[in-house]
Amino acid sequence: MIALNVNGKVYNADVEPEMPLLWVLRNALGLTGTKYGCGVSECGACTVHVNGQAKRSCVTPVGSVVGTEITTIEGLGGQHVVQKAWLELDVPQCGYCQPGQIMAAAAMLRRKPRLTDADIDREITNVCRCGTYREIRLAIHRAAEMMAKG
Amino acid sequence: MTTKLSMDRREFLATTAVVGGGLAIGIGVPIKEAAAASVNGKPWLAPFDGAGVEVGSWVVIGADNSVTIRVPQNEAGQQVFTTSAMMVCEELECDWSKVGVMYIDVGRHLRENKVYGRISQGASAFVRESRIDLQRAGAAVRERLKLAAARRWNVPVGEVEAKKSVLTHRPTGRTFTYGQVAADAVSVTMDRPPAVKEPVQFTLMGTRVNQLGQDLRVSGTATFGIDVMLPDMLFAAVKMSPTQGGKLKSYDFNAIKGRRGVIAAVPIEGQGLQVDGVAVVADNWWRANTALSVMPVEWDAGPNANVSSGDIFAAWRKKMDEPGDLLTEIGDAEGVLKGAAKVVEAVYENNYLTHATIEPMNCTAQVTADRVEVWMGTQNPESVVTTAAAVTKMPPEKIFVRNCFVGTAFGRRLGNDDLRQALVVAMAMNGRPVQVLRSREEDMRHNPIFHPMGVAKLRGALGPDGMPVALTIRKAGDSQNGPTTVIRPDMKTRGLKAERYDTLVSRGFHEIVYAIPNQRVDLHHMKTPMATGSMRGTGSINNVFAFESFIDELAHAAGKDPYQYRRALIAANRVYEHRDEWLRLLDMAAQKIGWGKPLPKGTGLGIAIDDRRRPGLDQEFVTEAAVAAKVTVSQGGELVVEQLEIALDYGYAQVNPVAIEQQLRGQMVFALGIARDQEITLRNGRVVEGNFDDYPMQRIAEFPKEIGIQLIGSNKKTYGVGEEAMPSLAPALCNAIFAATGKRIRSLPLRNHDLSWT
Ligand code: FES
Ligand code: FES
Repeated sequence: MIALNVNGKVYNADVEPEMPLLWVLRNALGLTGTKYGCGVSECGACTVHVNGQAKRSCVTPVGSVVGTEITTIEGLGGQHVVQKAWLELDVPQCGYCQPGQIMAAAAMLRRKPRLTDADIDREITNVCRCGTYREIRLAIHRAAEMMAKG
Repeated sequence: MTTKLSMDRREFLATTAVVGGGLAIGIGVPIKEAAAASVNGKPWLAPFDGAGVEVGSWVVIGADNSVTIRVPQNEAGQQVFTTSAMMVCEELECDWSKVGVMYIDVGRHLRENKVYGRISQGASAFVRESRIDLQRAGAAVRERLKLAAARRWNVPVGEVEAKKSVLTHRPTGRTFTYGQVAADAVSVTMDRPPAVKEPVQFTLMGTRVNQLGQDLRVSGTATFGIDVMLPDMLFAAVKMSPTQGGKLKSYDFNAIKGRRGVIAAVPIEGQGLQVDGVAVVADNWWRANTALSVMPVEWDAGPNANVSSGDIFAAWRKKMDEPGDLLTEIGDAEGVLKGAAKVVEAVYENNYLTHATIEPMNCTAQVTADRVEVWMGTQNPESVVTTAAAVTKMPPEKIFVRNCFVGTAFGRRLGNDDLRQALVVAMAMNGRPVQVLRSREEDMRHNPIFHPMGVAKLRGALGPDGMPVALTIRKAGDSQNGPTTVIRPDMKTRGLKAERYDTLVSRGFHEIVYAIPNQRVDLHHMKTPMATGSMRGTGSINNVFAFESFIDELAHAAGKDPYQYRRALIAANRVYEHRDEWLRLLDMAAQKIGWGKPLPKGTGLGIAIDDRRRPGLDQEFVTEAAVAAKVTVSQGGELVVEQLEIALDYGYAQVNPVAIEQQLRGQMVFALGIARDQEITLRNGRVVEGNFDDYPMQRIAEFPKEIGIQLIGSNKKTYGVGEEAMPSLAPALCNAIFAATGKRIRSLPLRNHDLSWT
């Protein structure tokens, strides 16, 4: 049994420590908002927060995050400023990549509330196959603006 | 109109917290500006709680005045949910803020004589083929509601008005809500279908509407096929023959039997190419996939173990010297070329491509003694029923399909290869549901419809004024079944000589809009080990790249400006009915990109145009789009796409401009990936590329700083907006690279080329 703190709740999962966090979340805990896209840290669809930092859960062995605070898209609560900005800018097309995009953006904004396009280019490397990049960029700036206003 | 809609939505939000219970899971309070609760997280279920009355096959009206609209095609980001609802509501005159959507029931569609029309999604056809049906559906419900109200009041129906979900008796001001008379409307029949609005009368269509269900997409509660969770469910990973066309020989389940969670290995046989293989079933997908990766499996490599892309290209290049199946002939192009003083000749090449849907192929199935249930994101639920019936030997009425949110499709989700695998595995699981999911690597390497390769040789003879007097195109492309598309006899265009063709090989080469007096196009329909088929931009991806780059080559050889050269050639075409739109769009794109201003070396502009027609088949539908590109290339060869400009003719009617714009930008990203980085390569019968590291995706940093969109509506029948601009991206980009560097790109992707210059 591995005890995990996910979205403020403690789960006991009967999994081996080398299982990637992604598959613990999806198959063992039924938290399917975190997506599988590549399994090799290329696409970011599986992004979650570990102690507030963005992490690609497909290459994160669950054993390595015991004792941390894990937040998934479900834990963001729907009212998070980034989600609000995403809705305002009508960002998603199919939506599949968006939980990962939102988690990546939320972690970056926490670290760097005032950011530039260059920051986004450097740090947001998630894939969106639908090509919503324009809207994602606008929504990140919008979220930053909303945060600044408080 | 825009403000009115968002006002409505805000009003709606105040009430959804009450009516939306149990819908938007995980969101306590509805989010501002989102059309909350307009879609169920499980989109095969109703969006609203509470009782409703079905009026006709398409619409359910709730006692609370909610309106549920059934959606015939899948939602993969192209906004079918939203556009369906808009088409119905335009006529229904209902309150948009109370509208929700759900998928149609495929079983019912089949039982009731295909009542929902075309439910298979593809060829950008949704608005083209379904709009009138959906408008009619909405109009019929509106008229029935009006008749029901008139009956209750005992007044002539002409005195009843329907607006915003309220029926008003004009002379007396009495009102009913839709919900109040819906039950009566069920028994109202009409002797003829009602007339529908013309685009000039639209009040909802043509306005900017945010996508329905966005709250689910940003909260992670939209159920994609991969997210289906059922009690007792198992997970399976699959492996298919590493060589294309190989066969499973043996596997050793004993070697992995004791592994944690592992339940079984199931052979998949007799289901066809790109499906057959072996699955490992476990209680968790990672366990299944890890066990599968270490299970000893032997394959019979089959006939293609020595086939590599390089050899196919070499063989096809040789074909460029042999005549192929004649497609079009006007005048005597060969004769003119022989005697011409100036001849330009070039060979263009494209490798295979794959759809790389962001959600890897998956399907969940449960097969019990008396029913088959399937959950997946599919572009064609009708074929899911037929295929499931064939695989399980169960009658179609015992097969239940739940279509899900779809993590992109691009034509890939028409193959049912994932379905077949899931059914075979589920049949071996004694009634337990099982989800078959392909790893990204298996998904990338096994596709029943890779986008075809292409080799095309183009030759042009220039007259004394530099304008082309003869053109030949010879094309070799994968064609699984040969030229089987029959050309409609009433649709023969000028010079068309073939009776049938394969649109995958020829699209974009059928009818050349540039006025060139002598033309000849012939085709080699090639069979290869690769299974090929449609993808977003089918056929034109290769051919428009070749053709629109070659026109640039001709202009350059003539010493003329490539935009003006195109312009002159289009203007000289006296027979083509859409000539003026071509010119207009070309001008719009050129102007907006800043054509004609002097630029420093290393910066360049390029332009291309196409219209996605399939002459001889459905040529009355046309969507022209011009794309212009501005690039900078550093001396070291680093390419930056500074600006793209799209000018597109949406034709007769636009439903949601937001969807059009998103589709167009999405096409640019999709096409930039193809142009810059993507190819599927065969080495010894195996696909080399396996993941996004070697089949790279565009990221936000590569997204052009500006993608401008200009739309016109020329009142002709529209082909669609899902793929019409993308084929022109690669030639526009490569023409811009030529202008910047002097380097002519004749094969993709660009990453195989050195763009440095001095
Ligand atoms: S699934 Fe983890 S980065 Fe792609
Ligand atoms: S919205 Fe579809 S992949 Fe990003």
